[in-house]
Amino acid sequence: MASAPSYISFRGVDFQYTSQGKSPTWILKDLNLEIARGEFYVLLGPSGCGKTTALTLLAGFEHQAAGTVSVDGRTITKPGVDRVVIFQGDDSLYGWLTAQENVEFGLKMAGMPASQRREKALRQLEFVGLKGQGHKFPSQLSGGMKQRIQIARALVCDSPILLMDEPFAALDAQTRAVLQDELTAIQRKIASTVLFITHDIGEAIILADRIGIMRSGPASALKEEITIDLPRPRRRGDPAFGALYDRIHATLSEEVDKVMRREQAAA
Amino acid sequence: MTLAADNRSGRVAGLDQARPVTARPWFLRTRAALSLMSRYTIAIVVIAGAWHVAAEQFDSPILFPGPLKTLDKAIELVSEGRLQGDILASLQRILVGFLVGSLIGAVVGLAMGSFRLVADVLQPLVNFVRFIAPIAWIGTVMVWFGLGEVSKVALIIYATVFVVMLSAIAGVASVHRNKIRAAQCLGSTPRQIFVWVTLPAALSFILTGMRMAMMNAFMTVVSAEMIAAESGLGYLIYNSRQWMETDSIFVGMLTLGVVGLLTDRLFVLLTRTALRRFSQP
Amino acid sequence: MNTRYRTWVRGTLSVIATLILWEAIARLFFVSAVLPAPSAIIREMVAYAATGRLGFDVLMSVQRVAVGFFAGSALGAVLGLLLGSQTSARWLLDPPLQFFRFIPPIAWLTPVLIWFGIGENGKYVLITYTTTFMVMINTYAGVVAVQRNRLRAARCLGAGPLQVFLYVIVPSTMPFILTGMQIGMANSLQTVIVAEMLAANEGLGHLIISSRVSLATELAYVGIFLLGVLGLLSDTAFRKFVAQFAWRYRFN
Repeated sequence: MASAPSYISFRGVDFQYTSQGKSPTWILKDLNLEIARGEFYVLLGPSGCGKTTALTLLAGFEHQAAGTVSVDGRTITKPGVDRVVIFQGDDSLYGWLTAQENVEFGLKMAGMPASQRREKALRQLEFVGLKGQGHKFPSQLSGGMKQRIQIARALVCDSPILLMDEPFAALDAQTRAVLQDELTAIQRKIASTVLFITHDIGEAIILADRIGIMRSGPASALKEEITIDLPRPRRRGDPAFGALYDRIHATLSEEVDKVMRREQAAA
Repeated sequence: MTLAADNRSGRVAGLDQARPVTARPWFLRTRAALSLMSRYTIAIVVIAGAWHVAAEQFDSPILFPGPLKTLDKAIELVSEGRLQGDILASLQRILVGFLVGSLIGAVVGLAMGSFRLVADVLQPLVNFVRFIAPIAWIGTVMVWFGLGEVSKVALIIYATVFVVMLSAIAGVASVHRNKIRAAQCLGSTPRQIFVWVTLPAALSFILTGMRMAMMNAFMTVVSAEMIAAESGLGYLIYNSRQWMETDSIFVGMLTLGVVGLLTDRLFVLLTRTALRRFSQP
Repeated sequence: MNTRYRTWVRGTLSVIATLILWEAIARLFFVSAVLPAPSAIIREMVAYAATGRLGFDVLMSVQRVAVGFFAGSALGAVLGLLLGSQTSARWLLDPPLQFFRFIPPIAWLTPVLIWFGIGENGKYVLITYTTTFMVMINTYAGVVAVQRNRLRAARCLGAGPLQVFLYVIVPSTMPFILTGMQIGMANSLQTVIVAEMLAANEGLGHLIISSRVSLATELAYVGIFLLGVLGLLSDTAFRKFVAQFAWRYRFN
């Protein structure tokens, strides 16, 4: 999308990973990606293709070997409150803090006084549908509720960008569908920019303004981009949904086949 | 003595076992609601009975006194005030050494876990010294700290430090990467991450380490009291040999078991109530 | 790797710096009876080794630990497996076992001396008990921890009770047995030292305590140093053995 004003951009990004005692592997090679402000962008790809790596670079956890990753023209060098990550699973939640204290975490780091923090956290918990659950510990909450805490924890910091790394992958199908709908509603309401990683084609079509399909690794990059202009709320039974699904599935299958052939050749 | 620890859950192998509630032997399956209390009572009665019969058979109260004679001796030692005195002496040494040792171990372990340089510098020294049995230093500490309490406390500190230190290092290593990354996203400085993430996340490991270190402290205090003390349960056990008072020896050993068990339960109770929230990673 | 090299350099420098510092402090501020310098300890070690006594002491300690370790590991594993898989035995014996673990093995020294006298047999019994107990309690915990679905899968696939025991319970428990053995070895070293301090005329424990009595502090440090070497070597050897021959039975 060269025409839309770019907000997040990956330009010529290379990333290599060296595991001990082995020669380095290129995970990403010449990745180019532009995301507009307020856009819901989904990165889709076979496992091991480097989609999480791309998110990790944007979050500022790792650094690329070449190329630039920038937000609004500023090059990313370290993690920041403007790009909060919502992780897969509950490992990122603090088990010794209540749901509310987890939500308050970022505000506390910024030195906000307790009463103000509390008020903002309570409002945010209500916004994500966790009213009255703030005193519970993560271990007492279901998987879906735990992901809601993560979302609230990001939103309460007024993070303009949400980086979501397969956040719903560990949930059961029903909970996942509910959270997908709610995420869409939340994103429409607050107009944040989202980079969402998934390997679930249906999830990608339900959520995305635009889907980027990645090549299978190593040395992965973007293979194809598809703009999804289905009206919202989107329904899986919709014939247009089915057509899109088939098209993306065919593209992805080619990549998965490549991986399998390579693995068989190696064995 | 140290124990295998499944540190992630803070459980110590053998100490906390998953006891299947339904698995009861045939003769008790009908009374499914038999309480833990009666189970312990039955166990004590059976063991004491077996001990009694064995002692009768052996028929040498001096070499192998039965439970009744041992109980008599225990009552006698209590009425003389000796047993309480010995318990107190041992416990006092353990408590001071254990607390100081745990503190040092936790601080050094956290530093080693968090800073590469500290780990690189201390690792080879620790990895050698921790294999030396604490009791081997008994002569050295007596030269440095005299014949009094300080020497024994120093040995217990030594016995505690390394166990807690290794747990703290493992605790820091176990903090999930996403916890750190989330904190970075949410604007934490490295110092804030240490205080608000690493420290609380490693705490359950440190507590498990302290629980293991407590047993090590008991072992060391008994050894030290056997070799060089005028009081304490180890002294009672070893000194009674001079007069062939095997019953006193048994009283000492059983008391040691009871005191150890109670101390462990108390530690678990305290940490599970006061620090409950830190049991989840 | 770069970091691995750096770790090695820092570690080596740290050991050298510690030794130099120790040497300087010992020479400048202390008499040898209080804090002997490393050089004096090494000199003493060489001299004492030349008399042949040192080798004998080390050998005696090693022999005692080895006998107890092998006998105790075998006994402990068998007892633990039996106890763990017999529900009735477990129901009855679990409470006393939980109690006995809080009696340090060394406390048995006095009754053992009374029953077996001051000879080698008593020491073997004591070390064997130390290892047996530790291995047994770990093995027992391991049997209880075998995942239920592993047992169910084996039964589905047609395994009888004995086959389930041999092909599922025993291998599933191996990591626990190995851990018990490793801890048992460390505990045996502690127990043997105390036993030798109180009731032996040879061995590292005896060397350490008798040097103290005769104020030969350097010699006591030789004993302490060799004790550390012995602990480190046995632990490393055990790890290497597991990594080589029993790697599939390690935790994760």
